[in-house]
Amino acid sequence: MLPSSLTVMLAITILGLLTVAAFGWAWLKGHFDRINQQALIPMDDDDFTVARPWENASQRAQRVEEFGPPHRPATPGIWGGTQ
Amino acid sequence: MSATLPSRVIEYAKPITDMDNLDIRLRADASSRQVALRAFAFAVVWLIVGSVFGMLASLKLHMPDWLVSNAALTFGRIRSAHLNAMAYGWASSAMLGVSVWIIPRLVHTELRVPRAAEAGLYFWNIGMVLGIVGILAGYSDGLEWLEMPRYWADPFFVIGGGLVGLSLLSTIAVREVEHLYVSVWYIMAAFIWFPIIFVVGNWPTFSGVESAAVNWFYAHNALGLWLTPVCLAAAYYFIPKILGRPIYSYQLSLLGFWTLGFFYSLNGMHHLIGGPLPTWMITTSIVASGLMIIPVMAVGVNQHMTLNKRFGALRYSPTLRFIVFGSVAYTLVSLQGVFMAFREVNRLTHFTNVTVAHAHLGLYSFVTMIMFGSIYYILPRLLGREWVSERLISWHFWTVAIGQIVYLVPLTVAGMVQGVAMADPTSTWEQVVKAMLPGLIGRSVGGTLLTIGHCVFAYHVFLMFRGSRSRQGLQPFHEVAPIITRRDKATFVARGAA
Amino acid sequence: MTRIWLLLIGVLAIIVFATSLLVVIPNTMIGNVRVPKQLAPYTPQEARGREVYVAEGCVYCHSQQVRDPVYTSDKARGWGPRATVPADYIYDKPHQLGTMRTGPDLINIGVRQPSEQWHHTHLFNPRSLMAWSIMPAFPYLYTVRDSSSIKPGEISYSVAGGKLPPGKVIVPSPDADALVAYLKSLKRTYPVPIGDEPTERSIGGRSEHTMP
Repeated sequence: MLPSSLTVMLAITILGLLTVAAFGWAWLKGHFDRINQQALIPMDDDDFTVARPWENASQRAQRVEEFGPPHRPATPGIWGGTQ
Repeated sequence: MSATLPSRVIEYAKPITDMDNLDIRLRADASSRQVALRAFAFAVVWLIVGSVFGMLASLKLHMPDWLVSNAALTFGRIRSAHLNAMAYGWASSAMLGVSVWIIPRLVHTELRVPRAAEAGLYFWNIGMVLGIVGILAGYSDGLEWLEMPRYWADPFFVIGGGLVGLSLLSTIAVREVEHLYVSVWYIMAAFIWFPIIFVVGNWPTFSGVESAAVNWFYAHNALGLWLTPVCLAAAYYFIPKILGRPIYSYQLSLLGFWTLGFFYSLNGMHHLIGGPLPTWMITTSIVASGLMIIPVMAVGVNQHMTLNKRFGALRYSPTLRFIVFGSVAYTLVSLQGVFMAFREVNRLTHFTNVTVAHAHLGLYSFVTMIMFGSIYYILPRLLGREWVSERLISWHFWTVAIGQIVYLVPLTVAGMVQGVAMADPTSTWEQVVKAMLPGLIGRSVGGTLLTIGHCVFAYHVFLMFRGSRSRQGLQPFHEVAPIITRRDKATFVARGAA
Repeated sequence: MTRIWLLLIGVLAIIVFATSLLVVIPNTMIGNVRVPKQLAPYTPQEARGREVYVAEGCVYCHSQQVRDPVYTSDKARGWGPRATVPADYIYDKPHQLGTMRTGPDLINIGVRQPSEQWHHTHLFNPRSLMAWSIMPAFPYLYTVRDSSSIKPGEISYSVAGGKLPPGKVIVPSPDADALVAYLKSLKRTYPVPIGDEPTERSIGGRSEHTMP
């Protein structure tokens, strides 16, 4: 019977290498190519264009520049966003 | 045009929403509405029940002769009922609701097999009732976090969770998006991990120190692989959505997800440091606990940078207030946990109230606050009306925020004094008990504030369900063409005008 | 990532790995724990007492483990002559190791406190013996009767500290007797064979606990 610490170290090393291999395969296969687009999935156009009451002028200008003219805020009360 | 109007007026240029996206959101919400609403209703009931148990337990610790004539009210049973009602009743029901609501939205299609999800919810809550009654009647399985009777209460959780998971996985399988957002990974993983660890944890053949290892393998993974992922999923969804900016670094969220899974799952033995287990198991858990810094910092950096320079949003959005509170607490409790896992620190914190405070920093300040924020966002969209009163939300937030500080600070300090007293072999047990007493009383005061906050919240949710007209005349904000109120008229620029 | 099955495999791999490391591997090693000759299995009464201990939730305030004396003061406090080892818990199902010490450790309470009178009066109301105690009282495990009604051969105890009206005594229920029998059975002071010496000193793994 191998000493348990050696078993643990071997197990972790082998599994760790397998993990790195899986990660490398995914990278080479192109799974990480368009990764920043994935960050946009929950967002809709409204989320980008609706004006937020807390943003200052430069942030609002940046928003207009990136996403176009703003919408009116959904409601003047409790701000929960668009939809 | 803008030159002729006051600067605070915003020009309206195009119709309020993109019809396709609105259609998707409305369909997604409509499909999850029935299950999600019921889940939140159950959750709020368990929150109140759990709060009552919590108050009883807390008061009994410094009033030990109170309500002792009945076995069902003894501290050992009430404390266990509190934990289970909160973890599996409140938190898990709320999480089920959040999960069934978020997944259709993120995969752009209706919830599939919603009847299975609904049935799952009922099974889960039947299990809850049986489990709590079982604990109070003295049928506890004797393992922390696994007290509910394994043969006649626990199967309901496996079936219930499995049915909800089935519904979610079916929905993901027919997704209409090309990519899976990080929240989907977290939720999917949580629903796969939970039944596995729950069955392993409850497996009846273990005894002795092995049963201890399995016990804490399960209990820590209930935190790290069930509660944490779903709450992180919620935070990753709501923060960008409300701010109108995507997550700062999606690569970091990838790293955070996988490292969370790998490292968190090995943490369990840190509850047994110094105990009669092989050193290698304990050391593995300590190392894994230390490595938790990686996913925790990934989440922390991501969320902070997304929020960067927009903290003013917290003044406007109740959802964001609760969720950001929760996210900051996540970072804090995880860092605290990393330190508590090191033997030199653990020597003084193990077996003390520091552990209890740490547990509540995680389960309340992180999990519960995020669930509050999620409910504040989701309910209006499912019920088609705004929250009744901004003031009730404010009272809720401040009572629980202050309540947590009153709870956690005295209890942690008392725990540290307790730990130091225990480490000194010449101190008497009387000194140890007297050291923790102020913290126990502080905890009762804090707990009272928390309970008041919960009652405010429950009342507000009740008003929402009942359909009271919003006192501020706020319009349901998912309507395509919002009605102009008198207040708006003075400053409104006609829609569609160029 | 678009491939859902990649995610599924990764998620399953994580939990399988953790379960193997922390549940399966230890399970295969547990067969090497030798049953100590000096440790008897619980008698039926003691086993019943253990069930009462579990049902009342004693574990939430009391631990049952003596930690390594090198870096903790458990031994110096008099809770045991040595750290406890896996063999000590061989008959415990479920374990009651505990994670909280609102009260003292109990794994050797049978050695420190062999008096049934003490245990019964303590369980009836801890403050009858220690005014500062915050341990819950368990009066429902006892019947309060007039001392004059006690027949010869019946065991009863008087309770000090003003917790009982004068002239009354307590009669333990069978569950109370079982619980005290269990508490009295908690003795793990027999010497541990060489090679089973517990130590957490060498974190490199040179000296492990009983499991090889």
